[in-house]
Amino acid sequence: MKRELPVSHIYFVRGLTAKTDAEVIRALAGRLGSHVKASFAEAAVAREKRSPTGLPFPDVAVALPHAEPEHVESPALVVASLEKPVRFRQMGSPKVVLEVGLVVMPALTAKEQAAAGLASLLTLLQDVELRRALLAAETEAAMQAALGEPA
Amino acid sequence: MKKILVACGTAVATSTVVAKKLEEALKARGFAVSIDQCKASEVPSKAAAYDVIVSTTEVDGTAGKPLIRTLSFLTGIGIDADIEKIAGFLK
Repeated sequence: MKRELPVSHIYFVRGLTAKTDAEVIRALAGRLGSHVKASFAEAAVAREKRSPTGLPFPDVAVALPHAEPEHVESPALVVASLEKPVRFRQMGSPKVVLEVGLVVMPALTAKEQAAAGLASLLTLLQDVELRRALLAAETEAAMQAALGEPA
Repeated sequence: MKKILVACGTAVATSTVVAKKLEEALKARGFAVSIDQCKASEVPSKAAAYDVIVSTTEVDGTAGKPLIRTLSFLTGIGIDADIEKIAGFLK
């Protein structure tokens, strides 16, 4: 199945173990490797504090932490399921704490950001079947199969 | 034509998704509307020119215009009720 994705490099992490949102962000920034600058992780942690990204879907809460384009070398995306839910705060309502099970962290340069890369990820995540398949996947290959090849 | 202002933190990501969904939903109900996007911080100065304000985040005043603050267009939870509410303001 082809899906419209804003990037062609996509990494998967299944069952990430972490205690806090900052731990999740740092671990996933590491997975993005040379796609991001050394400053990306802390910039994303700071942005999440300032503008939380947790979204309470009916079946699972999803977070979309990210950093500004100046911390990105080249576009990429990491999709992670968490071994145990981790607390992120809710987008637009920082006092609301969500137990997040899925994290999608894009590294977008100004070009993809201008092309509404985040909006296309948000649209993608509205697919309940995709959310379920990503959560249920027992391997990273299964997560990749659920998401499908970039269109 | 009625005008709706859709706001989010940066005016880039979430408001784009909300504006698209809202336009489709209102079209399906027979409403032709004009929808603009802005940053939440711009709402107080822009709201006066609109009939309804929809925001995913806190806004600091809407010049007396009705405000629907919701994530329903992103998560699906409560979306029908929000569309009804918005449609009510457009009549």
